[in-house]
Parts: sequence; structure tokens; C-alpha cells
Amino acid sequence: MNGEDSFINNIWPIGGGKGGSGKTFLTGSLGLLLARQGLRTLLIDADLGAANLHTVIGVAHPGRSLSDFVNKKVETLEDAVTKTPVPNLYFISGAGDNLDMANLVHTQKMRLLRAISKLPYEHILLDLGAGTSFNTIDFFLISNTGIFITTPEPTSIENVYRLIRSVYLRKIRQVLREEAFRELLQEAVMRSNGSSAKNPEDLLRILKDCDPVQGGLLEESLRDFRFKLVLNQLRKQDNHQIGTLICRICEKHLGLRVHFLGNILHDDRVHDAVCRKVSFLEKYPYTQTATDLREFCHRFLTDREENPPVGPSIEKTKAEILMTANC
Amino acid sequence: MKSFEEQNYYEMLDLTTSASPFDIRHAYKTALQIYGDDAPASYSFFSRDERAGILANLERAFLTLISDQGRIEYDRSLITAGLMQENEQYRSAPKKPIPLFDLEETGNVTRMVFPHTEKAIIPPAEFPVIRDIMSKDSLTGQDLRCIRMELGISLEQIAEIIKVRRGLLTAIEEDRCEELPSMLHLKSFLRAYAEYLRLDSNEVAARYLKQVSGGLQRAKES
Repeated sequence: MNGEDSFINNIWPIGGGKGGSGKTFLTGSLGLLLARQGLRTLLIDADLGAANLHTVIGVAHPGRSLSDFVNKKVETLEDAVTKTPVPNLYFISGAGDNLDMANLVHTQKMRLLRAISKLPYEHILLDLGAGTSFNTIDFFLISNTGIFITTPEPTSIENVYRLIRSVYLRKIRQVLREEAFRELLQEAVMRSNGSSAKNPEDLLRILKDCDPVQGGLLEESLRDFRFKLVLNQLRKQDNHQIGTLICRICEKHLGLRVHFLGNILHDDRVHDAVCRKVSFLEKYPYTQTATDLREFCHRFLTDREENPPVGPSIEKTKAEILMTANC
Repeated sequence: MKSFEEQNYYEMLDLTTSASPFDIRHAYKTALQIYGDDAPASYSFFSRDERAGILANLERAFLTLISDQGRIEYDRSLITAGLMQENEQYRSAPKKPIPLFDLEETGNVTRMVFPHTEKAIIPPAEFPVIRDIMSKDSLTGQDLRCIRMELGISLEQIAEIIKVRRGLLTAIEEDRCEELPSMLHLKSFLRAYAEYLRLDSNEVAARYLKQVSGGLQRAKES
């Protein structure tokens, strides 16, 4: 770490659409596992207005929080970071914020997103809120490497598809100019005889029809995503293939790369650990669920090496390869 | 990215063009797990009409590819459309069971050598006597015995290998119709006998039966 500008951090937004699917639990557990491996990890509670990550990781009264940065009580976001009892694990709480924190204005949000991407940590995990509000989706789109989490229940699967499509639509909106997007929507309404377009993938198809160049570019930028999926709270009697199948559907029908990172078995003791406000991994390290979490963490790290996020890091490796080739 | 309707049958089922019927069945089963009406994996992803359309397409794809004729025709249409190469077609190569006790036919593995039966390996058609007999239209028991003697094979030898009683074989060789078994058994015994002598078993059985059929009929009536 020499200077903030040259530092490349990995930002992992964790979202799932439905409440209670285990976003906060997974963020806390993954953060702990990464920190134990000696990786400097920062957890950010981005569940604005309904924060509770601090409870899961056992910091009952964090001194500072995200709202201090938003309201400019502290100079930099770094000042809002709290230490946790675990070495290498840092934390920005969302607790104790103003009640109107959930309705972040656009400029505040942009300032926050920029500040997050400059933080000097190896891994930054963003615990997002349920739902598909703009705030959640914009946080999700802070990097190309979001993690979706769902349970095998239809309600949860329904919401995760909803979130994936919302992210997709938001991305289209980001890539196209304002007026181009409006034209596209009008074209879509015309084609479907008055009813507004339901699916973002239809929008992409229409765009490719009207403007193949722009459509191709958009498709490329959608291919840049390297999403991941975790299936949480799997019961023994559930179909263990569901996660893989969901990824195949996304690949085939949305053209999005979603990599499946594994199942995590349901365990009633998770509830116990949360009630006692202790870490599940520390209290029950020898359960199947804890093993699943460790395996998930392992796959999470190795998967990253196989598909490095597109950006400066790739150019760096290319340069390194060239250098070694020249020697 | 192609939309589902634009994909060809192989792409719909996520198969390569050289997939075997086993792969096709497996892929269709997986596809039903994804797109089936009650499949949890795609819950709420498709509207009812979309799902019905996809399932109809999948069914058509499966039924076409699983039938040999249908697949050949479909492949041909893909090849003429330039979507597939000729050499990417599936070629069936059914595995044959490896015979356990058939000492002569050792499958496609290395041919084993049996020094004690070397003599029998000379094709019987090389012997002039046998050639003369085999050119006849019908064969008597006496003819069969001549062939056997010419090849130097004892009745006991044959009886042991083809698992037919010696007395029965003698009855066959002596055309004793009243002692012969049913037509079905007789035919299979004759074939086994002829096969052991390395003769054309179907021909031998047919010609012998032709000769004894009259006698058999009479034996049955009496």
C-alpha cells in the first residue's frame, strides 16, 4: 500500500432482493474468514435505514457510522471505520444514523460511492438491503463482481431474479445516454402494442435491431459482469442443483455471467448464534454449515484468480507477462 | 446472444452436435428441471406464454434428435444451412458384448492361438470330399457323418462341446426320424453341429431338414 491512488481493492456488493435470505449473515461470516486468512477486509453496512451488520459481528455500539460521512461530521470515509475484535477486520456501521438515511440524495450517493472505491483495503464487502430501490442497485453496480444470495424458496428466487433484472436495466440506463434510453423505451412500447416492456433483455434485443453498433457495445458491457451466486439455507431435501440451474438460466436468457459458488446448508444454530450475538463460525466451527461457509470462502478466493476482474489489474498482469517475456 | 427461439435444437438443449442419444435424454431431463411448469429454478422468470413456448420447443427438439431418422434429416438441414460441419455428426458405435466361452470368436481383441485345434482351422471347403457333399441340394445324415469323419472329429468331441447327447447325434447321422426331437430343437442342434465343423450352419440345417421333413411328418402321424 503506497498511496491510495495505486491501490486496487476488490469490492463485493452482496444483495439478494428478499429480506431474511442471509445477506448480513453471509457478509459477516465471509468477512471473518477473509480476515482470518490475513487479508485486510472492510465490511460496510449499506443497508441504509435498516442496518444490523454490527449486531452480527459483535460490535454492539460502533462509535462512528456511514451517516457521519454523509452528513460531513467526519472528513473522509476512512475516519468512519471502526475496528472489530478480529484482527484485519474493519467495519463501517450503518447504525445510529438519521431516520431519513434511506432516502439518500443523488449527490450524496455519488460522493459515497466514490469514497468507497478509494478505500485502501484488500476486500470490501457491501451488505446491501432488501428490495430493488435505486440506492440498492447503484451500490450493487459499484463493481462488476456482485454476489447474489438466495434461498431455495420460490419467494426468494422470484426476488433474486427481480434484482438481477433491475441491475440489468440500470446498467442499460447507465450505458445509454438519457435521450437514447427514452427513445428505446418508446420503441419498445410501440412494438409491444402499447404495453410497456417488461424485461430488460427485450430492450437489448430491440436496441440491437435498431442500432446494432450501440446494441453490441451494450451487450459487451453486460458480458463484463462477473456475478456470483450463493444458495443459502438449503435443506437436505431440497434440490442441490438449483443454484447451477439459476446460473444457466441467467447465462442463456440474459447473457449474464453468473458463477455459482456453492450451497450453504440450513442450520437452526445460526439462529442461536444470532440471538446470543456471537459469531456462528466461532461458536459452531464443526458443523456442516460452517464447513460450507469455509468452502464458499475458498471458492470465492480461487474463483477470483481464474477470472480476474476487468480493469487495471489485468493490464498490470499483461505488462508483467511482457516484461518476463522480454527478459 | 441468440434468443431461445432462434437457437437450433442442439443449442436449446445445450448439446454438441456429436451428442449421443444418452446425452440427449440427459439434457432433456435437465432442461425440464429448468423450464418445467413447477421447476423452482426458473420460478417467476418466464411468463406463462413464454414458458409454454419454450417447453413446446424443447419437446420438438427432443423428439427430433432422439429419433434416428429425424436427427439425420435435421443434421442435413443444418449442414446445408452452413450451421454444422459434416464431420461433427454423431456416429453410433454400439458396443458388442465380449463372448466369454466362444473360443473361436475372441471379439475384436487379439486373436488367441489354440495349437490343439489348429487342424480345424483349415477351412472345410478345402477338402474335395466336403466340397462335393456341400454342393448337393439336400444333406442326409450319412453326408454329415462323412464330413465329420473327413475332418477327423469324433462324435464324443462334438457332443461335449455343443452339449448334445451322443445318442441324439447318432440318430441325426442315421436319419432315425422317430428318435429326433422337435423341429425347433433339431434345428438348433444341427446348427451347433455344423458350426463346430466350421460349415455354413444355416445352409446345413436347412438342407438336412428338407431331407428329413418327409420322414418327420410320417413319424408324427404314426
